Amino acid sequence: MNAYLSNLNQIESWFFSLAEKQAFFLPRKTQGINYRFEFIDHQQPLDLFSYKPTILPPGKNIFPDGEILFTYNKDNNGHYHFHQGTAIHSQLLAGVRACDLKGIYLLDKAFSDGTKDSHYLQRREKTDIIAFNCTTPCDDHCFCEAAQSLDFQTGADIFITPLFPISSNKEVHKKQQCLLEILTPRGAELIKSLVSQKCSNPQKLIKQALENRPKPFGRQFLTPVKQLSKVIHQEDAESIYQQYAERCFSCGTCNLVCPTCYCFDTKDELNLDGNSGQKTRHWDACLNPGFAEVAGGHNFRADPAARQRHRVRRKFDYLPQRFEQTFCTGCGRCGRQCTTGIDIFDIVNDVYLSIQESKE
Amino acid sequence: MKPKIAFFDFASCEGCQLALLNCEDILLDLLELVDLVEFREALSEKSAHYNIAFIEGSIHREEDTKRLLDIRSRSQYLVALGACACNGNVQARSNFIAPAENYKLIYGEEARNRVQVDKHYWPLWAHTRVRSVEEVVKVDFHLRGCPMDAGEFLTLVKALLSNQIPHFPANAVCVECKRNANECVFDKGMSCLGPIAYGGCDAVCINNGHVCDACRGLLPYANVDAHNELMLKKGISKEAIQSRYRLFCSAEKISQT
Repeated sequence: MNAYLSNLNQIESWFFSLAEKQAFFLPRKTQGINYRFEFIDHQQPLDLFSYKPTILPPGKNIFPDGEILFTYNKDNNGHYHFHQGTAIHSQLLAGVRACDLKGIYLLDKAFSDGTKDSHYLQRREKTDIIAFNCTTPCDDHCFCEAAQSLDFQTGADIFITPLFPISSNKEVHKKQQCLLEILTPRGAELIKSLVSQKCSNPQKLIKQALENRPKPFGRQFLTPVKQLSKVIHQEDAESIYQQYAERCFSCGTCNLVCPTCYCFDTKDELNLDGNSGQKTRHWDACLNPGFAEVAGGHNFRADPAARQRHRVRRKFDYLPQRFEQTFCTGCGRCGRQCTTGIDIFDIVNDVYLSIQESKE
Repeated sequence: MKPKIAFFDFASCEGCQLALLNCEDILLDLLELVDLVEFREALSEKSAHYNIAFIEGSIHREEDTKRLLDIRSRSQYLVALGACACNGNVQARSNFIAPAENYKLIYGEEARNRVQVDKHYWPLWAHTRVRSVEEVVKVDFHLRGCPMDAGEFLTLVKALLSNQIPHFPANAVCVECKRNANECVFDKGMSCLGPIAYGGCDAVCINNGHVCDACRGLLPYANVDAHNELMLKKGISKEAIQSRYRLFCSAEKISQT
């Protein structure tokens, strides 16, 4: 694969030129302390490599909340006609961290499994991704190395490695160099408008850039994730889930900000004329008490501890069984955004500990 | 025959009915589908039977109770419209205060002293407990909020007109904040009742830079203990937390904390 060298100044002008051609999203700082994937603008300096993971992961741009799946109307003969819902446009996601890239890769897996989700897959097809490699943990919630998403490249069209030290509190000099690896034909197309020079020894430069990474990188589980999954699968730890449930609001934040939570609910919205309407889909959250409620008011997981357990087992047991990899990317969003500080990283470590202790 | 819809107001500002009148874009379409038989804000017609009776306001006096029971007996569906009807709203704060003390807060010490010696000075409301509609009659559906949400109103009417059961998920405001990618109020150094409050409002206050004061009421599964702890941890005094809880959430559970 080809690789190119370019500096931040050139990359910035390149982004603006790309943004003229299609919807272009990259992390922008909110008025507070967080970030969102938003349209590029000239108001803010580029903050590509040191930003704190965004409120919502970039995968949500491919799986939008409230998407209209189709609209329908009934004609005078009583026949129904169906029409395409929300239009699917091409888009470019830039500045995607490796953990979020893996999140998108896992969504790809889930939405292509069994009956293919054509809405997601069509939009994914039209989504280009410029991802980058982290050389320093984003903040102290990060555990991407432990969750095996550090260095993840699959699904990106272009993968950037910054060749300079990253610090969140220091502005980076615009002359600093980055290495851009082209991973797809689409990436080769995109790079054409970048002022750059071809790089003949990318592996050497990447190795140098990654050598200075802190070791270990971010938080580490008490045992490798494969082993963790095995333990979580084999044994239960009711008291640990109960302990976390005691301070849980069941608000669903952890689900809604998760890069791999793909559950949704659909709604039929009838228009006032009674003859037309639309079907929409909305993000759902298994921590919300109504998630597992069925006809007659029966609820499979009425107890908050059962919901905590379900979430942990989805990420570390059920989905890994089906897709052969952990469905937690270690991005740290759930723990970062939970108002009472419930962090899946702590839960799984505690579950592991309690099971080990019960064996002794 | 078109279904008959009626609006009744009890102790309230009638703001929910005004919120509906503000939906000019759908009102005419709606009136094609229903017969509006009682609506004090807009007309003076009367009817013996209602398919959907919307009750606005909280219930205070004995005659209010009688009137409400009468409406219930003549209604197929009864809907509590807005925060006053659903959970008593701000006026229910008086439930926590002795009548004389409350009187003093509003009219001053002199007025309080006067009622001690002359009972004719007591206003009508002074000794009544403020109740939600559900504390008096069976409520089929709640349209929460101060004021109610016009979108939810439409969802309800459309569902009932097409013989479906309207569904309003009992989720926290946080759900809608995440859908809107809002910056968490706590991250902005302010405090929020969103984690324990009914959503359904699309987090409208937070979208516009405010905080949530739980005007839609407390979720049935609200983890008030955890929330109280969170607020204390943010450095908010016990008194301030209690006052915040009582502003809109007059529900018994929250008043005990």
